[in-house]
Amino acid sequence: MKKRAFILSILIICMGCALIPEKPAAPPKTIFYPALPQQPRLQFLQSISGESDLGKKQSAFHEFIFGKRREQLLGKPYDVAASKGKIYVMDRMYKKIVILDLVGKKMSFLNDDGIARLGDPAGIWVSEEDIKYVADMQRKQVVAFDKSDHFLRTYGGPEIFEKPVDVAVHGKRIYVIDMDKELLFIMNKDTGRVIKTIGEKGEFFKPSDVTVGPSGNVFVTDAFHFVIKKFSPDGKFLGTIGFHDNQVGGFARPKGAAVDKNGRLYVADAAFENVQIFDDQGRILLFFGGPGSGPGNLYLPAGIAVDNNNTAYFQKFADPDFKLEYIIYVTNMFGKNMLNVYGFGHWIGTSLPGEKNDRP
Amino acid sequence: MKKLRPAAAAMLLFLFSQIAWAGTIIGSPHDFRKYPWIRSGEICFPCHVPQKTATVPAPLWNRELTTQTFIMYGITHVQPPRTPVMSQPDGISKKCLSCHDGIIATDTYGPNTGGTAYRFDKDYMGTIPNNNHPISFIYDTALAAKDADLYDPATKPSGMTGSTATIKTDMLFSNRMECVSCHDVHNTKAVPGTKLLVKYSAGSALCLTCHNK
Repeated sequence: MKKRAFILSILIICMGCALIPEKPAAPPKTIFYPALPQQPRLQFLQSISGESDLGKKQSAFHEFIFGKRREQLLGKPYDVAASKGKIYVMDRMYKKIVILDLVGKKMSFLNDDGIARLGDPAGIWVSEEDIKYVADMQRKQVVAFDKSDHFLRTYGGPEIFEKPVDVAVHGKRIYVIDMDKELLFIMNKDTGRVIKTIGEKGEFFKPSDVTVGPSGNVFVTDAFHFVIKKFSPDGKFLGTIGFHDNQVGGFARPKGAAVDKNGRLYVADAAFENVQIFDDQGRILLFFGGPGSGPGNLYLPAGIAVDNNNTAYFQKFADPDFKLEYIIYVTNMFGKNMLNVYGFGHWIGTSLPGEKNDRP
Repeated sequence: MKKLRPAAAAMLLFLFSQIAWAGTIIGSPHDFRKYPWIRSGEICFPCHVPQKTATVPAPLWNRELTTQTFIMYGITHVQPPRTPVMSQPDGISKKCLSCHDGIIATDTYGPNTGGTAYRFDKDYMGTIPNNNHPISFIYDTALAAKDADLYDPATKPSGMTGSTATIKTDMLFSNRMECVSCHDVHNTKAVPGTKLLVKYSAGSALCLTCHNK
């Protein structure tokens, strides 16, 4: 009887310990843009700064034995692109392409040994076929890597480029923006031949980024005209978006740009530390981010990319009343949140007061 | 003695001409007017964005927006002492970093453009514990008390031309060392012939303002 009572009392004590509730972690605040009760269009989902943000947790036992794992963090992300299961970050501190493997939950560097050696990478584009194109200022080339991350080929060279800072690819065309020559090069993706150059009359000043939309239209960040210039796939000038002003719709330090499947243009501004979204007519739709170091804030943003391939992976970060349609990545050159992940989507919760659920 | 006077006068004239150039952004490395894109005389626009448009349309997805004006870098002109983010470039230095990001203005100073000798990225500039060119850290009496190799900024004079004020008054911003502690972008107090430095760097005079070596 005494022995049984003893065992029982031990058990009760253990149960009591187990039942001591852990202090619950404060639920992360949902960041919608615009904020409720307006129709949310975007939600800030996550910041990725190192491997642990991909979800692989160090077990408590491992930590107990070996101590907290010190992980390598992103250095100075400048440009970003993505394909199925992977985010590629062009990092100015490491001078390499960082691969964030969403499936394997690993962070690694794109192997650029030997002839693939990157000198001074400035921009990256990843095609639907997972071919990586890297604009390299030192090599004065675009270096391409295939879907197995092996060196594929180069485009251009010192006889063509002076300072290639960004690259975009659509169909059989490669678009390269040269900041020193102030030209947009249109090249044949198979032969590498230059088809056309845009900007011979000095139309650009220090253009810093180029992106292509799904319809093939080309958007150049004409940094010191403080506008985005839009061209047809053949290089015919179609108009400008934005203006030099500190008001909504204006730019002070426009940098990376990206286009979604509906032709909406996203532009990151390093001075306003925000991203502005314009519709296909160039009208301002929304801005998000803002200066600061809180969740969703931006810190000298540089690059931006739209990702249609990894929406399902990020759905777990989204509010249950918000259905994601695609993902937007924005790089922060400094700050503790190096790569911000936002989801574009629509509200599926109870009807919101005011506007109906219209979606321009 | 008489023969030296013309030479002395010529030297003085030369020196005065240098000082005249030191007083203005015109002719300095941040005078971008030689480029065709900048409309005549609007030398300030690359960094100080104008507010030109009287009314701008509200964003179509956020019609309830009341503030229409963006604040650059999160800084208002009347700067309240806000809590800086430690170990990250902050405040006024962000203005420099948005162009001197390693790509837009890679290595552009004086007659040198587009080179690679002086890089505004990992090796040459950064935040503590970067040793070469740290910025945005707090430099105050407490730090000087911990490190015998630093002068107390609250008492040591900055030694800048025409000033008897301390390092803290002349060179620090909310007690932090920033890019503009040493570099005068407007060229109003910069020493001619230097990288827009606020003091002569000959004999490491600029460094020795704060470092007690």
